[in-house]
Amino acid sequence: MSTRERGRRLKDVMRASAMRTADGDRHEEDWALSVRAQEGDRDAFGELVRRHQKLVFMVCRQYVGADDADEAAQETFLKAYTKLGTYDGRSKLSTWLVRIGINTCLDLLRKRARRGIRVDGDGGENPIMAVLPDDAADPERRAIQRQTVARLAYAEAALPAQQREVFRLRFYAEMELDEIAEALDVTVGTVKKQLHRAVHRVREELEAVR
Amino acid sequence: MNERHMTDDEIARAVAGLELDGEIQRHLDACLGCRRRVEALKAPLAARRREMLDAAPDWEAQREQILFRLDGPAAVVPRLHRRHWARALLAAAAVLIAALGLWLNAGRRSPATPRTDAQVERVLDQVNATLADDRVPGFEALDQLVPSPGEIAGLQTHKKSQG
Repeated sequence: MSTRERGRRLKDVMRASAMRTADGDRHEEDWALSVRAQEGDRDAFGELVRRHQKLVFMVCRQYVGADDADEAAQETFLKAYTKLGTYDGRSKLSTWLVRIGINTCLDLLRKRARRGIRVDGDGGENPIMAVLPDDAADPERRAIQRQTVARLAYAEAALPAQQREVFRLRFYAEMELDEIAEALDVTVGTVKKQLHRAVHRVREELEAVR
Repeated sequence: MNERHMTDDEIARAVAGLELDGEIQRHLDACLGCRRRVEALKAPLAARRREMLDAAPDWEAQREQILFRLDGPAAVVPRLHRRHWARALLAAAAVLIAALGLWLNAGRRSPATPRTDAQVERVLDQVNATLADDRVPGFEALDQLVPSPGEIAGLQTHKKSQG
């Protein structure tokens, strides 16, 4: 297929993408792009990256922290490129990428642990010192919001590992419950239970200091 | 509207985005107090997410970096893409290395004597035998580039007649 022909087909996919927003259509488009990427069409792979890079970054951010999230996300896409032949289209491409992303991050965390570097999934940052966006109008409200977010970070860090994982994937990576279940290889019921418990605990922690 | 306000458990379910009983959902839609309780946790969650996104890389730069790294040694080209040219290239490299090895070896055995036509022909025969071996993948692509044994013999005859 000539470069021009590939470009034309890619434009068709992008146009279709703009016109249709349904999940099924997106899945079909992802599948079509992955097939073309597998045949060596780099533009198609670039389009796949564009579609999923924010999700992959936010997932990696939850596991390895701010400092290494970009590198982990890039590594995820490089691994995905070499494994495209194994993607069979049965699950969503986003879920498949998230699984690769999580495994990449876990590898990184294992390496860190071997080197004796702290493993807390937050890159060693101090949530109290985190710079928060100033979206509250007056200074007093801004200060309260800063404190609340800092306490949220602490409450979240104190959650049991699986609850914390589900909590972060749901609220920060904004994944659907069934996507989380598939990515973590657990049932949707387990995800619901863990998420409900996690929210309950975090809420209690925040209420306790009010 | 249901007059009973939502329990902590129901508020947690609402924050998590889990399904609520129809009556409770209607109450939440209509009750400002319960909506505020849900919002009290949703707001810091949204703020924390924004904080993470503020530290996110430039998406276009990241995409370019990924595409650039596909060419690097860390990335392996997908099998379908690699299949067509890699085999031929590997086969050509193998033949060249074998020919070079034989040539150097012949030179080392008798450094003082110049190479004879017989030695050169022996090397060429070995190369031809390797090329004719159909079990080696990718050699079919080289058939168009490398002269057949018949062509080589013709060239040698022509050379001798000129000499």
